[in-house]
Amino acid sequence: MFDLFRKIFGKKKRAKEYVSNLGYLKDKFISKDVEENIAALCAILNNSYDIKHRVFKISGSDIEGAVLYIDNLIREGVVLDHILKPLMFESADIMNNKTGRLILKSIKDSMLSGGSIKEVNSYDEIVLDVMSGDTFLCIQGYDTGFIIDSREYEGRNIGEPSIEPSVKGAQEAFVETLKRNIGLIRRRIRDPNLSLNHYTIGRRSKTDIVIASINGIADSDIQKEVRKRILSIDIDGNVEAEQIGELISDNPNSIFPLYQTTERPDKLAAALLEGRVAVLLDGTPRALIVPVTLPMLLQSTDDYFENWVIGSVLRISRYVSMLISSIFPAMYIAISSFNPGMLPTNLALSIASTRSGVPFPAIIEALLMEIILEILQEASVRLPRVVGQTVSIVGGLVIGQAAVQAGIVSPIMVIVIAVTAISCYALPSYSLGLATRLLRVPFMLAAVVFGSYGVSMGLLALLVYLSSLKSFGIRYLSPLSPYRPGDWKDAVIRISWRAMKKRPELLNPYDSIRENIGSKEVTDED
Amino acid sequence: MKTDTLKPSQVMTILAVASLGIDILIEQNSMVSYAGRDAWISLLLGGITGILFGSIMYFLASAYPGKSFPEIAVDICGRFIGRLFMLPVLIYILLHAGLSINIFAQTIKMFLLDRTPMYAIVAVMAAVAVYAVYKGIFTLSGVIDIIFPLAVITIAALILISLQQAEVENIFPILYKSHMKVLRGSFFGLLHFPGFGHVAYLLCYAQDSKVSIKWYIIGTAIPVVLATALTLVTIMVFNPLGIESLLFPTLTLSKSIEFPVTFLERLESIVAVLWISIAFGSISLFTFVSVQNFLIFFGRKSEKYVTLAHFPLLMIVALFIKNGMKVIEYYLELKYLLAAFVFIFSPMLAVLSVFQKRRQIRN
Repeated sequence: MFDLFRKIFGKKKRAKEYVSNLGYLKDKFISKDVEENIAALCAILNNSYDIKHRVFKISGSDIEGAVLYIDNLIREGVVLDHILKPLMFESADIMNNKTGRLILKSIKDSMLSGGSIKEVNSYDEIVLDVMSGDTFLCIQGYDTGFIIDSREYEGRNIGEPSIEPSVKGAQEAFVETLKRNIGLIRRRIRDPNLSLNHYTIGRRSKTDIVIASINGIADSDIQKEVRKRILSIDIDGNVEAEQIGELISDNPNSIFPLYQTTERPDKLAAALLEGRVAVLLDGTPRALIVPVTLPMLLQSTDDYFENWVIGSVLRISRYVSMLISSIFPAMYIAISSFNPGMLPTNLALSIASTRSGVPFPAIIEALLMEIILEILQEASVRLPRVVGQTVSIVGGLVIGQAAVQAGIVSPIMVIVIAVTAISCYALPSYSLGLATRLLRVPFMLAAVVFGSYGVSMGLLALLVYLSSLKSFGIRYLSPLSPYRPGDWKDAVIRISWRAMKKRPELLNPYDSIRENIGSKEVTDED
Repeated sequence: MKTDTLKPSQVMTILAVASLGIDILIEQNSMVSYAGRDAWISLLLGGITGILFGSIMYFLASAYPGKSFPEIAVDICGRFIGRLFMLPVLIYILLHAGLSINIFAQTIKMFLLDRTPMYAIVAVMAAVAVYAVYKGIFTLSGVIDIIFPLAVITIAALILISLQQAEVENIFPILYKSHMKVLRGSFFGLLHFPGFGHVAYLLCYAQDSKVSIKWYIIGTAIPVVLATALTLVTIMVFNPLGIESLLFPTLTLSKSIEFPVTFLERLESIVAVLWISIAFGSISLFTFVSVQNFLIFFGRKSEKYVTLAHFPLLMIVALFIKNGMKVIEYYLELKYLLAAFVFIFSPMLAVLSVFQKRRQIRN
């Protein structure tokens, strides 16, 4: 039906396609003439001001060489000390030995001391590498050039996690530079099976992206599916990990996060060791982890740094927080408006007396408070930290107190909304917290029309929705539904490490054994 | 990516929840009218008989892997006769789902929303049930997995809390001059577990279509045990005469509970809220089964449209009869169709299936 409508009313002409990828350069090869190559590359790169090139004579001979690179993306020392200096001043011996004839292999093997060097001859490869911060070198008389690794991206130092702080956990967070982020993972997993596959995405941005997983643990079906979905992305530019997350998600319309983002390398390493797959993107201080389930989003790093009983209680409190964050105002409206008899008489009378002077029904009160709360939250995110605190004080105390004194809202409603707001922040996943915030309004509307019946039916509809969601083929409510008793030990509760001998079954890991405590014999010599 | 299948434990939870839905509210009343103070024995015997007869459906479904019950019927009896046989089943399931919604709405109106019109309560339940079925059996089974422990805990808690008011003498003397009544009652007791036949609609989605009979027995035994215990406690609390005058004995039982401390009042409202999910599970499972019947009966392939068409169908059935007492009466009379299905249709189909299999082996 929709196809028919699209056929009749859809746009007939396709938008003009711009040549934005490097495919058209695939069949263009460098010539033997240095000047020609440099001119061609400058033309391809639109003669931008930051394209630097230098033509020079090799070791005082008549043979010309040229380098081309992009300023600000390279480590200048590499170009000067490891490319230009050896070629201009230290190549005389080789020139003499080779009877004046330059041999590319000799240059590559004996003169260039850069970290990684590769031979190239097509422009598409050269352009992509130069734009990534490598240096291009070509020699007069040869139709093969070199790409020498000289990348150095400016970036901040590794700092503390800002979204996922931990009381006892490592105080390291990912930064915007992919190379450093990879280093943070490698440092934690010194396993040769740690597979880091590099790709570029974005027709124009050519962003570096790395898919990380541990071969021999991660399910190859999931690995392949992640790779397939990443490679099928056809987008002009990419800026953030969440953009990729949405593009590879099973259901992009879902308000619940179907991928996990983390800025903590320890969390990512733990996820890889469980058998999950991570996606890291250059320019983003967060990594994506897939697949994800709802119980996984309620796990926090701190759960594992405390005794398992304490960890379990903390985790259960998060489930309660999620429920409170979604339905507490709705339950208050339902009970106070439809079934006050469900409450103890004293409490019901107390609520009634606090509401006696309020001119609005409970739903208007709740919506009013919710709107004010949302505005405050948005304002505090946008404003500088110092001013943000002032806004919190003015918003939370002054407006709250003034609204109660003015008789616009009842004190009990302020308590309800405050508890709801605080519960939202108890959730370790910011995206999940946002989803629960969004759910509050439909639940409140259901409560005002159908009371506790409306809330119950709303919860059931939500449960149906959650049950229908999948992340890379894994049911979102796993291991709670379908039942996987083996995985319950790290779902709603977190039991002792000694009992967590196996990796989560729901991820279908190849090597399911995580630990063999007691099986390793240690002698005095060890 | 792997394709979805039902795990054996999911078959178990579905079978349990399907039978716990509406009958758990009203069965004490009808059972006491047949067997008096020994109603709980009738229910227990009926449940055991139900498990035995239901196992016919289990073996039938196991013999035809990948096929649901209506497909099996058509396979065995042929296209025309198979559909003809399916007609009463189709009518029964649809009416059961619709009337269940009506009874459900009556209780909600009575205990939670006294001023809300029936059609609104019915519409919400029908819409969410159809939505769940629309999302498919695997989504539905996921929801049932969550509902199942809630259902068991709610009923078990109600039974345990009610024990404090129970008077054991209300059930004595056991089986005193009432053997025949108990036996007759057990026939009706069996009919209070309408979800056992669902196994024939589920095995085709199961991991390997031969789900161990262990799961079938656990899934069907749970509602039998819970319903028997609940009936026993209700008799002990109200005595048989008192129960006969109650419309929804289970909710009245919860109403009679008094906590020593002022912690919760009107417990029946809270039980009604908790029971919503159990009723939803049962209603949506019957809607799913009804959709499967319609698909085969009308030879349709698009499950989507047939499922959506169930919303108005359920609304019509649920709202057709205005008198609430009459609805319960019809709901109980409808069980004669279930009896015909259990005692005549399914054994006959099983026999025909055996003949067909033998013929196939000979050929």
